[in-house]
Amino acid sequence: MKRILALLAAVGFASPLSAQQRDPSATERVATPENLGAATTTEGETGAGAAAAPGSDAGAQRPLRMKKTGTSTYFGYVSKYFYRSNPLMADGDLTQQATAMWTNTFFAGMGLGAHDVGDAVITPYAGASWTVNDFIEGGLDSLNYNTTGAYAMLLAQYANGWSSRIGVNYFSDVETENDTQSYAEFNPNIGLMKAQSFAGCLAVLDFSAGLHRTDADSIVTATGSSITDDLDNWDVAAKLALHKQIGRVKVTPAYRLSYKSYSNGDNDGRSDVNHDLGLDFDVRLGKGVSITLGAKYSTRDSSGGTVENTYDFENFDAGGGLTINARF
Amino acid sequence: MKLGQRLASLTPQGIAAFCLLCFVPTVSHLQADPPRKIKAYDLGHYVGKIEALLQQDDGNATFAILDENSTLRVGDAFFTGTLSLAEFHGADSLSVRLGAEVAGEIQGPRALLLSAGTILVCLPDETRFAVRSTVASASYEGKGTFIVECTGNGGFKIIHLEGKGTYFTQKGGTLKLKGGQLAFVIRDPSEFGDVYDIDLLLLIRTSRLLNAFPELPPTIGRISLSFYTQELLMKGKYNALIGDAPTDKNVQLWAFEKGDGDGDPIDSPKKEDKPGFFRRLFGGKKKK
Repeated sequence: MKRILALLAAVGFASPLSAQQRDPSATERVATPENLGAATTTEGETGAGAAAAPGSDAGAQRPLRMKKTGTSTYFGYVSKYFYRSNPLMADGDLTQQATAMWTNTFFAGMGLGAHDVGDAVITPYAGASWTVNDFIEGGLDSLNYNTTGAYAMLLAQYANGWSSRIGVNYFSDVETENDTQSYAEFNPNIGLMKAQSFAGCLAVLDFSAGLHRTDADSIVTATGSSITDDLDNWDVAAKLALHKQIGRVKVTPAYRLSYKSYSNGDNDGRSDVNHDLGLDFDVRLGKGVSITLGAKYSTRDSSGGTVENTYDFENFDAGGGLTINARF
Repeated sequence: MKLGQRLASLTPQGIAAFCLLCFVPTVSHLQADPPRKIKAYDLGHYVGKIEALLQQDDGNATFAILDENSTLRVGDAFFTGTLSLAEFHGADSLSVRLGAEVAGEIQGPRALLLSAGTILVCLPDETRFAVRSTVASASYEGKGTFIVECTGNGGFKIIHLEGKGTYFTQKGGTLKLKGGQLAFVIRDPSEFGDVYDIDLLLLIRTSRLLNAFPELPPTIGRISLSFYTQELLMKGKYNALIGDAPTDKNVQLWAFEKGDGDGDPIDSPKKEDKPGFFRRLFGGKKKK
């Protein structure tokens, strides 16, 4: 039904004392399957279908089997193998300690009914995921980590094609080498999304905002205090994705822009602007099985903070993956 | 002056008018206009030939070919030709779309007799709308959009697209349908037959009453919500299409070639035309 975009990066802190460390703040984490609950616009369907449809006054009447309860359940597996040019998300060149990454994500969730409230349908969702992140090349395997994610969300779909959501995500990174948690995040968030047929494509525009309450490895600030929440931030983001079906291949160019503002420790006053530009090709092999080839270019432009700011980075990912999902 | 003395003083025409008033139904809202003079619908967009038998004041009917902005009144009969379509606009923003070869009569501002064919009724505002066929009848109360299709047994199908209103029949009581549900109305006194969940997206894509007009119905947003809800609750699709109901006990089901399980009958290729796995993945020449 849906793919999780498990975009997890490894970044080194901009501290001159740490040789190789990840910066979890470089990661845009997505707990919910992409386009979860996004309604297909019937306007596009009617336009495209009319040309090919045999046409009768009432239309074709194909009987369906419906669930007896309103609960829908889904689960799936996503495996991705890709090149990463700058796995530590370090300031400087696009290619630094380039590696291959292999991520394996298991996810499951459920929708708790569809509740008609007039001009909207509200569906509660909850789910969880577990991702294994392995650095294959470049001697970075000491940075391998696993991420546990969970989410709960209320999704409202409106008759005008917009949908809104309010929810909370939770993430936890555990370093596999020493089995210790290196990062955790509690992320209440809101979002708006609109899907619209446009020039033979399905354009999906998404706005989101959220607060990230973090718990990372303890660091000593410039003032000498030891804190673990220096990565706390709030962010706003906008994303535009175009889905175009060409035969069996779905082509999805997408662009995401986000702004983050920090307020704790040495990051007080720091702000980041992230750009992500990606292109995916999805081929459906069968029901619930698809392969993806894709590439993404990411940049972060960081400024502010109370110490030297070296959080800028560029990164390029390219690779493929397999997705298997099922819905009940 | 007593009544008898007043009557004795009337002219013959006056006596005739008095008699007419005595026998005309005294429904208050009809006293100003007799029922057949109530304007019911204006013709909007149409394709092909739309004809009508217009009731005149003297009880006769005249044949007319309708144009845009033509008016149908209570008592008028209407017919659409082969491959014709028409949209009539009524009071309270309601609209009725007629398909091909429809025959019917306006029985009230919100009441139709449908002898043949298929119509789409769009009720953006709360109202009550009645449909009668040659045998059966039903009414709907509330806001909603639904399709009515006459069946061979003299009854009709109701295909509910959206709305939380209620259907009524004389014997079958009340019925609430969700968007994407189909119900049969049968017999006299009327009752509801079987109810089916049908693929709303497929219906939307293949319905001329939705697609073949310049604009989609004003309730298309809510129809989209019905489809969205149906997708969330759908378990699977049968490889069949519901056809006519030639009798009260039988419903035609047309089976089609099984595709990949999710394909629509208009999309599923025939088995012998399907290429192998790698040809499907990388393309290739089709077999002749």
